[in-house]
Amino acid sequence: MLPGSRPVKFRKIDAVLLAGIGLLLLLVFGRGGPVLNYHWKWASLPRFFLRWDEVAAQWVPNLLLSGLLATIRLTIWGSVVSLVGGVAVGMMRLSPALGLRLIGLTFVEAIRNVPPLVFVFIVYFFLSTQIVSALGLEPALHNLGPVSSRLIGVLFCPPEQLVSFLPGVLALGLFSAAYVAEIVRAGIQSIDRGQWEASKTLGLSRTRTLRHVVLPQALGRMWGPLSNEFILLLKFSSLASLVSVPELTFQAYQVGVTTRGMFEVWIVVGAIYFLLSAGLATLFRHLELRSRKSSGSMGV
Amino acid sequence: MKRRSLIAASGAAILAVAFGRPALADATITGIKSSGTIKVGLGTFVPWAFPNKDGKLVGFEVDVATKLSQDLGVKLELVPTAWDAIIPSLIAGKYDVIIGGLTITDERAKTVDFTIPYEHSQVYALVNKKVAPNITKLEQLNDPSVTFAARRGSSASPNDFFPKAQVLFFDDENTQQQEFLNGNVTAISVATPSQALIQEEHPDIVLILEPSIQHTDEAFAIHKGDPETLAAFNDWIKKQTDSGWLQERFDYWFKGREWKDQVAG
Repeated sequence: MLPGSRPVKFRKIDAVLLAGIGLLLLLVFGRGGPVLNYHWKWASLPRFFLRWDEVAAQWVPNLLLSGLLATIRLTIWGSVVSLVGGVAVGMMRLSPALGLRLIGLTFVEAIRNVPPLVFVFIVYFFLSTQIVSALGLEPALHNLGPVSSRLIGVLFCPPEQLVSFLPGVLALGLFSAAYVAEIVRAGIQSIDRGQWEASKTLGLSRTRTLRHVVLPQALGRMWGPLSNEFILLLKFSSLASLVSVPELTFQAYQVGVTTRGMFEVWIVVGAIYFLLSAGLATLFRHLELRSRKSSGSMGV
Repeated sequence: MKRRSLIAASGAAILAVAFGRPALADATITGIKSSGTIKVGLGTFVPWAFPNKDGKLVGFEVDVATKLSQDLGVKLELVPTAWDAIIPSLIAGKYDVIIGGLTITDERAKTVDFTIPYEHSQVYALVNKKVAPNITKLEQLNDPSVTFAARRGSSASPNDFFPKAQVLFFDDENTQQQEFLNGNVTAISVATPSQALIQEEHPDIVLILEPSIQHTDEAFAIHKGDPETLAAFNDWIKKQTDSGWLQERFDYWFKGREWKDQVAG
């Protein structure tokens, strides 16, 4: 039997541990008042998720909820950039052409050896400004019709925030792409050489070998590290607050300033990130199990 | 061969985007009028600019920016920005002007151009009465046993006035003030009207030392080398100072407390 697969049994030591942790929590929160000189103000927080708009007579998302939605969009689009970029760079790393291999290596090493925050600053202040002005994005945004304006609002963010949202996506996506590239490269290289040789004897081209023989096997091995990478991306997205992308962390700071209750805000925001990350982890585990089952039935 | 030239061409294109400077732009004011929108960068501080209970930005700076945009006949776009990024974001062209209670300093004037001041504030030193019950005069703060909590990125450091004191820097007002209220530092330096707001909330802890340690002038900040825009903004500020409008708004936000019910909590 594997360790960890034993049936869960509640023992005396567990009860003692739980009681100890409970006592510690009580102590921390109970002492919070007198020692920290802090007035807990939980009541004002729910309003910053949803509020009732008198004029429109409907519920509208307030700062924290819109921040949460922005974080989710940032993570999704960041993952798309990361996956596309990562697969491309990963394939470059394995290319027979030396030039492509060197470009891939440079990209990966340059990014992996720079802290994420520094990378975000470089992309936001230096690169993105030039790209945005080169693309003529801003004048285009001003001439949007109501339909496309709405569409951008649903898919990305309110159009006027796009000039900070896109660099945010780009920075997070490219940063993560460097790691995804390594996962892709390692996944493909982990497949035994014999498989390549066997395919060659069967007359399969390199592309076909990759598509039909190597990748289906490598994908199964890449699932775990890849899902880990996307959860990291979700957490790193909080760095975008420092370049004023109005995501969850940025909005939490704004709410903290106006309520003067930063403990409450950060505790709640921490809990939200926890739920998102844990939820993503469960989802990926589920997908991994399913893909394993289906590939297992194919006899791979 | 074909592939190699493709790589070279794409490499050159990337370099061009990365290092080619955007064409020298027109005066900011021309751009504002032609696009019909003015983008204003500001930081979040009560009561300068902060979200009210509905998540809408309000405050002195918001009033100033709104009136300016109305007088120019353009739409206003407020860009709340992390304070550390407030000047870099202006330089990177994320907005047209900073109207965010930015104090004029020589250091900042090296990278941005300031208009004439549109508001004036004072910096006060506050003492935690429970931590240091015997400190009642400003001179007593110049002592190695005194620790200040200061905000990183504010215009002056307490060390400029109390060279012997120790200073801890914090990223934002909330953490800075919490450290002070927790009794981990002796004193704190804050700008008007924060000293009064903190004292109203914690009268048993806070002692405001008179007089103020510094008088500061706040101004709009724009890109360097844009005399046309600078003149237009200076004109506007002069007009609003002479008419008393700026003073009236300043008194509303900084002296009165009628806006208090807009703050949550």
